[in-house]
Amino acid sequence: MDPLVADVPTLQSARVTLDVLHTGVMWGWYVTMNMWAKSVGTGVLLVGAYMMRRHAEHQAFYRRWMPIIGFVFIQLTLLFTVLDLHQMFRFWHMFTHPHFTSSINVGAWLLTAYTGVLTLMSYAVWKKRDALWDRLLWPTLVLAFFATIYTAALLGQASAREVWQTPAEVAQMLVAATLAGSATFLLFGEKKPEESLSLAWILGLSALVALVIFGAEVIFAPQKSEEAEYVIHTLLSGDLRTLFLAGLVFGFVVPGVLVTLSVRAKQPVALKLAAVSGLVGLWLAKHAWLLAPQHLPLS
Amino acid sequence: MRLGFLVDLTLCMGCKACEVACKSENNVPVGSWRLRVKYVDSGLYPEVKRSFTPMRCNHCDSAPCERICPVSALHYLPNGIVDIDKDRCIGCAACMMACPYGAIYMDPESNTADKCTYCAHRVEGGLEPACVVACPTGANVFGDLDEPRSRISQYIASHRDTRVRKPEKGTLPKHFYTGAGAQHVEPLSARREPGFELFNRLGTLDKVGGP
Ligand code: SF4
Ligand code: SF4
Repeated sequence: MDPLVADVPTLQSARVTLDVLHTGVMWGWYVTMNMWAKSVGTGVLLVGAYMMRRHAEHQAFYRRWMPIIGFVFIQLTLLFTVLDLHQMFRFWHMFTHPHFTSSINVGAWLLTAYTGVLTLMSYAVWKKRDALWDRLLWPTLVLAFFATIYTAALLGQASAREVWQTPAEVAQMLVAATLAGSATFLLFGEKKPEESLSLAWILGLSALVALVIFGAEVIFAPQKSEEAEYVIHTLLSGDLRTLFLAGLVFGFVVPGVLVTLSVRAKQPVALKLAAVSGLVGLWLAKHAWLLAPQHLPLS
Repeated sequence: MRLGFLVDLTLCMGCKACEVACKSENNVPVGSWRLRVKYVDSGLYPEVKRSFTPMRCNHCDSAPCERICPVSALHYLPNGIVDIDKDRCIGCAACMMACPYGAIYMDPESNTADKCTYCAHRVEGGLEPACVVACPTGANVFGDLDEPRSRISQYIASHRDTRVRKPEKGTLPKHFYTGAGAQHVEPLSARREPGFELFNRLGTLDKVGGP
């Protein structure tokens, strides 16, 4: 029996005896891939800019790879966005019939502009035009920031889907980006120990903040409606329990523990493991979060 | 003009004539529904009752589906109907994430979103929606909410139990019910068990019909 109905004695006997099939999941793993790749694609810029200031002696590495990794992952984001459309060859309608109250439309423009500046930055890397690169950095960071958080606005507009509208979603998107950006840099290229330590700090703190937000939203905060309770139940004790808990453990707990261990024991391998675990867990947690409200019967 | 709907649930006998008329009028593909009648059984033997709830798009005055649509495929007509332009729709399904009433489906033949339009094409020609015409008990009342003398306005004025689904969502639905209990308007008030769905196997086919 549905656990919520079980709690309401007067309705225990009520049951649906003829209806259409529940629509099921309309936004599946393509959308998860979109969110995950975007976290990497914007996170490498946000984290890379910090690392350039903090470790100026190794600037060349970040100058070269920030735009290139960012570009590749934003193209992946766009690819999965288009693949998810039921009419993918009409994608251009976004630009010829724009509807600016829609955060999807605003996001499409943002990602296009972001792709443009990343392309220019990559060109500046190729032609070794550092002045151009420097001029593009700030606009790119602003676009990276808004490209990171627009998904929170999009989830907020999806008003049928409980729990996506939580105010902490913006923070959750930002820490997903810093987690993904730091994990990507930890896995990629040679670095000095103090540089890895900075990245480890970012990874560990991002994981901790994400875990605290999820804990606050899912476990401690009172839910505002019966529908939201249903969704939280699906995540914590229902069909998505394993996926969601695996996401929390691999995405946030394991990286936190491994970062602590590696900092204490100076074990760089543990940092690489923490980075892989963080990226995998982030995908799992995002996927569960995406699916859960779609299990809710709406009518 | 603000066109609205009202269903007097004390008159509905669950015959599904409206559902069939809608499918036939709008060529709704098998496995998809613009209008459906949900059956809920409640009570314990011998005090058992079956309730019927016709459900369609509410043509909300503040429609989240319209706001989220990135290409304005969902749009308002001057008479308040929330219409859809299937040639413009890109099939992103965002409207399905936004509509709190599950009123939108992805048409498996055109691969675009679709929903009840209050039979906008018939209304334009001065006809009533097909479901209103087909209803044998007159349970469906359709008309202009801005006109105080219209049948729907008078029905709402004279029935103090008139209510809408999920008012807390702030969508300002233009679809009303009289004689409704929790089993009619609250989806979580009744449990769902497998085996009571129509055409369940057809309904799960993925993207039938090509691009
Ligand atoms: S009921 Fe749903 S589809 Fe209809 S107007 Fe309201 S939000 Fe849009
Ligand atoms: S599926 Fe079509 S109607 Fe719905 S939001 Fe996307 S483009 Fe608009």
